[in-house]
Amino acid sequence: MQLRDHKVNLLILTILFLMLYLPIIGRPFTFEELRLTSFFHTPPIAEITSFTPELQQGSRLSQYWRDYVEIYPPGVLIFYRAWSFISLENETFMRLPLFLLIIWSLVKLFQFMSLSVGKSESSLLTLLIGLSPLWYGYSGHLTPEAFAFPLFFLSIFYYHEAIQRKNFSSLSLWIVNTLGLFTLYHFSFLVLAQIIGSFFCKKYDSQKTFAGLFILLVTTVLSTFVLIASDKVKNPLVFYWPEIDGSEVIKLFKLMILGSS
Amino acid sequence: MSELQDLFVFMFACLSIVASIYELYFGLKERKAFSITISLAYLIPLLALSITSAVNFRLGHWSHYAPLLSLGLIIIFQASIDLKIAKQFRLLVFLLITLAGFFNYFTLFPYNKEYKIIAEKGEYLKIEEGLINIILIPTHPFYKELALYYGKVHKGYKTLILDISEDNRELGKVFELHKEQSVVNFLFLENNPAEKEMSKKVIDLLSKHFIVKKEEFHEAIVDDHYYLRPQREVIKSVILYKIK
Repeated sequence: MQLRDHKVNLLILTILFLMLYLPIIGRPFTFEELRLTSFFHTPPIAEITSFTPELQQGSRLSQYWRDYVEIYPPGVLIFYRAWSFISLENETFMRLPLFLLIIWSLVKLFQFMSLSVGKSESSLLTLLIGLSPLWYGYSGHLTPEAFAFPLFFLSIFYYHEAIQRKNFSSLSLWIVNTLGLFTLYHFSFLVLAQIIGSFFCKKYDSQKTFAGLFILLVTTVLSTFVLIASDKVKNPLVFYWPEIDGSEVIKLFKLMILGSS
Repeated sequence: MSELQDLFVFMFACLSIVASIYELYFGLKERKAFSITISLAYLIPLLALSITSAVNFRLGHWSHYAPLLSLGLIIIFQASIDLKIAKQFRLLVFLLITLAGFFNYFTLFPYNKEYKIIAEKGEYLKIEEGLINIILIPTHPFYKELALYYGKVHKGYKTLILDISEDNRELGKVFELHKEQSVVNFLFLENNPAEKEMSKKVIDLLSKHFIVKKEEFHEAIVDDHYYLRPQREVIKSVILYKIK
């Protein structure tokens, strides 16, 4: 009975999730997504530069640098530039890696919850969480934040597995963390918490290697991040950041729960 | 509905923060590394966002933090396990969280319609010696980038993107076409009033050097979402040849 229950729940989740996700996976590219394709035209035409000169100044290469190094690490740009040579101009195919990553995160979410509450309840909780707009709202677009979102969940689950096994040598955890750090600077907050957490795991296998390697990576990423946010680097996009008041934290929660702010 | 959703979001924010503080306490007390980690992974970015906002030194835009704070769901789950909360209550909390966002599904993709119109026009471009395609788009640099992509400029299609703006400042480009082009394939929406007005002006200007040879009508479905009632638009392709 227990087994049948969780299979039915997972089947319902699969059907509902595909009904929510598939109609939007093939929609035309957004502006941000276009910039990831290998077909993005160059150089920019004069008409565009007249609208947003601060965003469009310089060569295309310097724009990429500004958008994907000074705002985001270039992981997503590099991956999707390469992937777009395979997917060509098919929007669904272009978004497929993100879709698969999200599916994999949901599978790991189910496994993670099963350890605490059993398969039946876990499948029901995964069904409920999987229908939240977190998975098909802002994370349905090819942006570094969207890519970091499933990576973030995967990192938590692989970290949990490492603690369960008392062994930090999990290649999956290392790969996911490295990919996360190359996707979003803010991912370093999670890895930083994992490093702190690992100090409470004395005598675990590879604990020192894990902590040492990621201290190095997180320090590099956080230093770059703080540097680009400081006045020392003239980054025009950073000028948009200060226009934020105290209500922004609530906006963030709105994005999480409602899918839009 | 909006106020109810806002209230719920506020309640979720409070619940997740309280849960993360409890997890930190529980983790330190029981020496549980996982509880400490998820708690810090939630509290550090939240504190970073709040403190750097207060001192006006920003570490990124607020939306950059969104993937990190989705951890709130895991924290609420973990805290409910550690507190041995009844299964029914846990399910109820997650049901409410899901429902609050689920009602927003159809409002999450507000730009789909404009994007689809631009992409559909790209289906009816032509490529041949001496031919230029003209497509109209709303005035916005992002739409312009999209139009250049779906205008297949990178594939060698000669495409002129014209803004539908009130000042008609882009119309001047039409005057120059006869110097290099012998055929024009002009694409616009037949039943969009703004485009209809603009297209009339463009064809009037072109008529000094070009004559309308053929008109093609293409039906395009440009709905916001697959499940919503489809909205049919007619994309009109007017092919003009240069007067010799």
